Amino acid sequence: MNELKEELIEISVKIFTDLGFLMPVANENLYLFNTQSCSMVYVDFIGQHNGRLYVKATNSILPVLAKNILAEDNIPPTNLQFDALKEIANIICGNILPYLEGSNKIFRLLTPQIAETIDKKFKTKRYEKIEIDIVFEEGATQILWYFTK
Amino acid sequence: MSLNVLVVEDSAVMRSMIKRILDIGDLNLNHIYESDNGDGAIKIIENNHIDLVFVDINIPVMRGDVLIDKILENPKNANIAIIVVSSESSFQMINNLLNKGVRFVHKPFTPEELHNVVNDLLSKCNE
Repeated sequence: MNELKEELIEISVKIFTDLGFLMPVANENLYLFNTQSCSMVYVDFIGQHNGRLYVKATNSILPVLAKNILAEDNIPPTNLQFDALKEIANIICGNILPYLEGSNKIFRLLTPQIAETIDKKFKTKRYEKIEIDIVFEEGATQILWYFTK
Repeated sequence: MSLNVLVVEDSAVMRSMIKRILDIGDLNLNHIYESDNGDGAIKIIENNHIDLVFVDINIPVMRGDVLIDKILENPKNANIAIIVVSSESSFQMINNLLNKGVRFVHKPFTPEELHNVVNDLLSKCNE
């Protein structure tokens, strides 16, 4: 589990950095989750293991992320900001799954969706959970990865 | 030759990103069509001359791998070059795609990576 967590951190940081040009900083800004409004998206996956990967972010990150990915001078509209977060979740999920499934296995990702809360079914014993926090100057993100045992 | 390109991707952000990368390259582009699903892509291909298609795998209505099969099974589409742009990381799946004769660009990618694959593919098509 620790190796999977390390991989998830490495992959997620790389994707936020390469695609969104967000640079991680020390986790001292985690309090932001308690003081700022947040948004959350998820990607479901089906394979040898089934599950869901949530990406939660303080709303301060969304406009910067979308603006950087699109290389726009202006802040993109809200729908594109959510689309950017969904795409980040999709790419993280696609990149991390081979470490769970094995690179010779075929798995399937479903279309990313906006989430209000964590689905209760993932809080049962049927699922393993890996949680990581990544903090950027622009705000904080949390990735929650649930998969069947 | 000026190219007609089709970008099939459900993420509007990723479609814009691919279009922007193509725009800043040295390709002679005529028109870039867009579809957010496989079914819409088939209709665009049926009604327009398309030279190059970018396809994501995890798209709604018709998955990207199914779309590729549909494109390839029609002899009229024999000259269409296909590039898969996906976060798909299963070697098995990627090999299955490469065996169909398509190119693969893994997300996340840099503009240079995308340009290199496009230029390499188009130079082979022109040989």
